[in-house]
Amino acid sequence: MSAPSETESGPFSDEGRADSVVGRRELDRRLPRSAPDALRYEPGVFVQQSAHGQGSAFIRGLTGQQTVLLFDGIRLNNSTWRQGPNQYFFTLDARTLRSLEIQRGGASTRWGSDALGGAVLARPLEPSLAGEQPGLHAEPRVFLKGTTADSEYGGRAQLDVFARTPGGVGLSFLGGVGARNAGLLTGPPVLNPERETPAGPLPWVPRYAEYLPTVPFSGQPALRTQLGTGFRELTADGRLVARLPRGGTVTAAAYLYRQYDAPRTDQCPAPAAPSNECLTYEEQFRHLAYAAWEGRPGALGDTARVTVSWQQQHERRRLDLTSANQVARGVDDVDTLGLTARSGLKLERLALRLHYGLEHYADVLRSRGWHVYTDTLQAVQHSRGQYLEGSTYHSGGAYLDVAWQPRPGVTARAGGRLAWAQARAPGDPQSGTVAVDRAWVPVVGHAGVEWRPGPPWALFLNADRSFRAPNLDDLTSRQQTGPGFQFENPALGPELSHSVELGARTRWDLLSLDAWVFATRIDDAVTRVTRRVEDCPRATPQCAASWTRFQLQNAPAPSEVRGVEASARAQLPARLQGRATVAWTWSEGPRVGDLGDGVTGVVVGERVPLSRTPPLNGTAELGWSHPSGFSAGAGLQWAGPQERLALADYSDGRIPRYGTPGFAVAHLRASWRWGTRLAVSAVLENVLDSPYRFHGSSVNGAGRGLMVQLDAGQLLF
Amino acid sequence: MKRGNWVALCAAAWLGCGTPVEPAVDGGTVTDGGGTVDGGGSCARVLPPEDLSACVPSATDYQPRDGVPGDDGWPACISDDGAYHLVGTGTPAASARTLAFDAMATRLWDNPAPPSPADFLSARDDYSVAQGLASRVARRQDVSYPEVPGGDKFACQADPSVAAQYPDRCAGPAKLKPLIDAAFVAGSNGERPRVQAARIEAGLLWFLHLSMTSEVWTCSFDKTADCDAAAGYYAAELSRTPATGFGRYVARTGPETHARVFDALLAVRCWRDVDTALPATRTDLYEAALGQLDRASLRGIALAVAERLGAARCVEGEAREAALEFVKVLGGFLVHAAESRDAAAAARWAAFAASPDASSEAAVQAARADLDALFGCP
Repeated sequence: MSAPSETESGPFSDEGRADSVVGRRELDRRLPRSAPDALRYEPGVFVQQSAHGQGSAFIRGLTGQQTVLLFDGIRLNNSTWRQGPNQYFFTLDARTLRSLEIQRGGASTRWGSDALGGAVLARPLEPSLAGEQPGLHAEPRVFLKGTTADSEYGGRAQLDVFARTPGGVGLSFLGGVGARNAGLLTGPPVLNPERETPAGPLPWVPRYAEYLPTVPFSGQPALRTQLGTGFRELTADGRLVARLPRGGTVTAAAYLYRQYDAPRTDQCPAPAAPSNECLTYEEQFRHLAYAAWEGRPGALGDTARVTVSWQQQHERRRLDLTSANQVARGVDDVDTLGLTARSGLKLERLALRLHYGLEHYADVLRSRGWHVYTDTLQAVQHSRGQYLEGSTYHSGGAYLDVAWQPRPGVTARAGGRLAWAQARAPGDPQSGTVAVDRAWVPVVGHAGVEWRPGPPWALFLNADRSFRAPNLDDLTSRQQTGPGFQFENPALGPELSHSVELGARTRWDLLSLDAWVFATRIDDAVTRVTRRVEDCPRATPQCAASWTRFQLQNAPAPSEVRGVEASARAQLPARLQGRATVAWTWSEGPRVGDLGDGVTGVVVGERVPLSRTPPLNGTAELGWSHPSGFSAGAGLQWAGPQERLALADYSDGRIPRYGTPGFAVAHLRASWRWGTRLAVSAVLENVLDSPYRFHGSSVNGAGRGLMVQLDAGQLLF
Repeated sequence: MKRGNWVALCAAAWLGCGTPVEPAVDGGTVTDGGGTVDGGGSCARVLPPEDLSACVPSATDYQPRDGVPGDDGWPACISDDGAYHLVGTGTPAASARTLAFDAMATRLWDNPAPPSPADFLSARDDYSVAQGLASRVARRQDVSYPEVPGGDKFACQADPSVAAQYPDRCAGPAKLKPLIDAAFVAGSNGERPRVQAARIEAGLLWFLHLSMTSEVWTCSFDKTADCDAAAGYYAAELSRTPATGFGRYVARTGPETHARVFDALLAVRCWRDVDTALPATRTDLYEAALGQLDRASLRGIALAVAERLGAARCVEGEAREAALEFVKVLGGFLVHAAESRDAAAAARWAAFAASPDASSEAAVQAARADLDALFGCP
């Protein structure tokens, strides 16, 4: 008997489960536009974009607040993450990432609330320099990148420094500043599957700069330039790592992300609104600072990490209502203080490996809203913002994970978490908002077995129970969403998921395969339900006036998500490498509410699909590299049509009428690396200029265009 | 259908010839900030009781109140019980906009005092709420004009240049929005607040009228629930006894006209009960219902203009200026419909509406006679 070993992805990774990792090398080869974009080639992940400047990863059919995102082990999810896709993953600067690990399936035991669909573990670049010699060593590095499809240009300057103090402490520092500007995204238009719509063959969103309203569709010029796209971005980061003489490290790090003037494409303009009305995220900031100690805690474990963090999420919105000569603004700030402690302990005699830890996060929320008339400059303060000023949210838990290897080839794993969450928000009588004071103490866990009948095979069977506690967005927010106005439900309860997954993995020298099937049942799933005018809260005339109105509600019957994911990687002759993925997801939940009034010709049963469930989709990549430093490759992304829609999807302008067409889009890549000082990478994206849209997105994929990156300095990989 | 003697009958009724007239506001002299309200016996602020006995409905009109269902040539349908049954799943959003109109009325034109800048700001908040009145004014089409070419049914809001190019069809963004915006700005600056309030009132009443027919139009090809919106723009309650919106005006000034408007809304609903297809296939019923609604609603507008014209005689100063501004704005919008009915009367009315004059009883009587000649029967 021997204790199970750690995985490559780190001492605190969750083992024996469906996962995949995108490394820095892949990121440099694929040249993703963003952190979410970097996941497009991962099995079981489907990336939706409500705007050019945002992206949300669907993992096993769930996204946003039903998945958890961590950066260096720190939760990025906070209490304002809304139902459905959100923009927050985009606020990770892909240039600062060493890797992205995607853990598919329920993961609340290890990562707490929200991990129903899975977890994304982002790991930052570490300083690369080290040594024993005294003095200061520094390596600068510069990246420049440009793309033609959205006229993006930008870059990053980075400095890698190492010094050893007289006391023997090795200090490593990696820091950088970056900026980029993305213009209007161009690409061929995706059309409605049902062409004979009142607005013609074009979906409501996006609108096109070239569109001529008085010309029949057949006579339109080439429609390529998507309105409501483009953004500006500023990033800065610094990471100081002190390697202590007696072992262990102390890390102090800060990451700043600032996005400016990013319109939300499906609201810029909203369906049927005048073309000059637009919702813009004027400021979308995320600041994260933390200090971490990592080392051996003595009898408490072989390795441990304690982190104290502060994160601020800042959002400033601007809604140009030209029809009313009005600009409405909202500002929301969430400050999150976090404490996490994790440890691992290997008990060789008992063939056990333990992971345990606890964490607590505390959110404090500020929110306000006001509007100004552009002709009279009169300003009106709202009694409440999107959220309630002074709201607080506490969440955390303690967990224990055990892996036991009773005999070679068999590993049993089990774990449990006692979690807690508390939401408090003041009432606002003027807007008819009731105060919230709720708390939950869910208990979750998992169990599984890994069996290696013999090299190269490994089989997995896992069962998991995960949860998501309602957050302040669910309980208190009022907002205009894609499909309509959504108002709060202070009575929501937690969502609970129970999953079973069966996986097979094989690793030969030239071929590796992964295949997983899963089934998830979600009890009390939080669902967006259509509401009547009479249901609108008091003092919300915009609710009654909206085309459709929604409220989140716990579904009265279980929801289900099932699927299959597979990936293959092959080393082919002539230095060729191939990789392919495929994923299929099916979902269903109880029908709650009715179809929106504008939906016609649709018959729905008592059970309906969950919102924006990805269609059958997959990828294929082929690469070739030469020792001289030159490499070339091709990538293919494809998806079948998705016509299985949730009730709310039918009135969602992001979804063509009724369903998103399938697509296949090919990209060519080439790069040349000159020693360790210079690398040039290029991607000819969408070679055939195919129209395509990832289901649920507001934007069409980029048309044929060139992406080029220049990387000069000391190359780390 | 109008009978030969209809004009004379109605003119006599409207003019209040010898008919006792309800007293003016407060029955006497009232100070209104802009001048003196003269409650003297020569003004007719409130119209006399409506008498449409001489009017004959069109052969294609749906008449749920008369006879046995089916006798009017319409197939038996959901509206035959005389109540409006929703097409959609709930109260239409249009009802919320109608309620916003009423909230604005309280702050502005029904305000016994001259509205203050703060009143205008509050009213503008009612008007500007997301997805509210302003959003619909900015996209409203006048379906009595030809469609914008190109086949895009929503072209009026697709680009500001389209509205400028087709101002008649794109009446909301091209005509109503500038009118209402300018009135809000002036009202917020304290400039002749009653006049600005009257402009907003007149503009929005025309918007509500246009919305009814426009929603019936979109109901024919886009969303069948838009038929509910047509009813919601008339009165928030969607009932035969309205206390809100445009319906409140019509029910007060012309109860029988109001009944005919409601009949027309039931005709719309009946058509959509018989013909649920999108786009609609029973164009005969669509056109009949739309025509019935347009005719009845236009008479409702004409009644509002006639009433205000009489009221202008009862007041002076800014109050009179406001009443005449109401007549000028709302009466001006009637000219297009008038031209297709009686060119000569339309020309006279157009000239009057361009510069309404309530200085003499004769001028008022002549204008009312023209209005009656044009919009006598609902």
